[in-house]
Amino acid sequence: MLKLLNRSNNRQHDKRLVIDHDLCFSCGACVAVCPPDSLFLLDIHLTVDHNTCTRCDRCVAMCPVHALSLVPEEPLHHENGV
Amino acid sequence: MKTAYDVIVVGAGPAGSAAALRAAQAGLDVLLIEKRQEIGVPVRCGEATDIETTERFMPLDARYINRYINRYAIVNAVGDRVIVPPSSPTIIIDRKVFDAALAQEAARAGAELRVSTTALGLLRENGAVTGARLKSMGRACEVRAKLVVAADGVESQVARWAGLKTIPPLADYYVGFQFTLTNLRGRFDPDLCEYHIGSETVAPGGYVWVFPKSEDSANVGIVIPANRARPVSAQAWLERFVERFYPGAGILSVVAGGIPITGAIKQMAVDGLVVVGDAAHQADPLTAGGISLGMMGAEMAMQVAVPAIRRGDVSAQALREYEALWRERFGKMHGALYAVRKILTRMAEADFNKLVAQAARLPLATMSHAELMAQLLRAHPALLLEARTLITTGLLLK
Repeated sequence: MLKLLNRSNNRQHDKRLVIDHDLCFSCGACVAVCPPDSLFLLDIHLTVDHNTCTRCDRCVAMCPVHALSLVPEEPLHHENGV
Repeated sequence: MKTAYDVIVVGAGPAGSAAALRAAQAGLDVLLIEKRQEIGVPVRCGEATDIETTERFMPLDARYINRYINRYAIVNAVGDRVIVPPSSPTIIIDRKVFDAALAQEAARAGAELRVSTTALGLLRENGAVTGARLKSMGRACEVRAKLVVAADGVESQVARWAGLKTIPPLADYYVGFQFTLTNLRGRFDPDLCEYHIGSETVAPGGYVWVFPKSEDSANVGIVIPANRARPVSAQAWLERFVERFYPGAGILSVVAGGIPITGAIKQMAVDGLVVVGDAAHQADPLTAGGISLGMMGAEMAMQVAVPAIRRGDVSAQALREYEALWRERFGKMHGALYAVRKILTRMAEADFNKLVAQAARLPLATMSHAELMAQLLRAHPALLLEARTLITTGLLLK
């Protein structure tokens, strides 16, 4: 399992999880399937810890309304060390 | 709120309130906490459950019963339907009122009930759970307990902290979405629950349900396995269904969510802690129904935990007797339901359509399961291979 995660991590390391808050219903389906526990519902606001997120894509598959996506990381973010 | 209890129950859904009720009825000192401001909200459920289990825990009450259901229909993508009686008499409930009524029942039995109270972490001594760090209406505190019950639902944090959280593959999660629709009068049967199955045009690998709430309104929802929820989302599949069958219907509410459909996790207890309900993946692995199963899980957990607390031995070894009770009661059946789901998931829509069309012509009310299976196998020999899976998993042995 860890190996799998690492592989997907390597494949997607240049991506970043983006939450479309207009679509999100704060249902928590994504929180439940996040292996490193990187997604949080703070009250009703979904947030992601990009430092621990492995870009494994499970939350993206799990979202009933497709509010989550992995998008290519902008070079700017790398420069800022985010 | 005191600084020590016999039992802290985290989460006042059906499983948590049932656990608190049973512990309080046994004379234990119980704290039941709910993170939300109001019990039962937001509703994340199709709201069908069975009468028998409900009555084990509280009197039936018109305040939370929307409909009594006397038949179920399985409908294929071309409109053929098989109508069967419910395996157990069914009610459609108002979860908001139901959850509050059950929590009240626990409170009346002596449990101390607190909303706006969140678990922040577990207290431990030598590895054993000895209580929880809480935040209650803004104030942080530490509360000790002989037993912590994790009933905090699908996204359980408490089970994670206890090291019991397992994350199954995406194929074993349902992605769910539901509308409560109104202005349906004359467009559905308000005494019948419908399951619509069609892997290519209705709900890939899952189903759409129509559960009546009144003569004019119904919960219309969808579940599809997470590995088949792209490129079309659960929401988009459901919108297609509604557009086809109930164009112009009003939408009273929207619900989204995810449900693990593995059957219960193997380990449901550690030293000083048990997990119940959705947090323990106790929902039915075919339909994902979980209200009465969560309540039964809670009852079994307390059946083991109450005497364990009394003898002063809440070790994992003592508490894990609860897992054996669960396996004995539901293990075989859930194994079979899991197998049925896998078969349905693999079946082409055209094959399923034929199967339902065939079954619709049989006198179901007078047939045994075995006769029904024999008839269907004669018409669809390819099913024989699949039927072997079912027989070996025990469905036909029941």
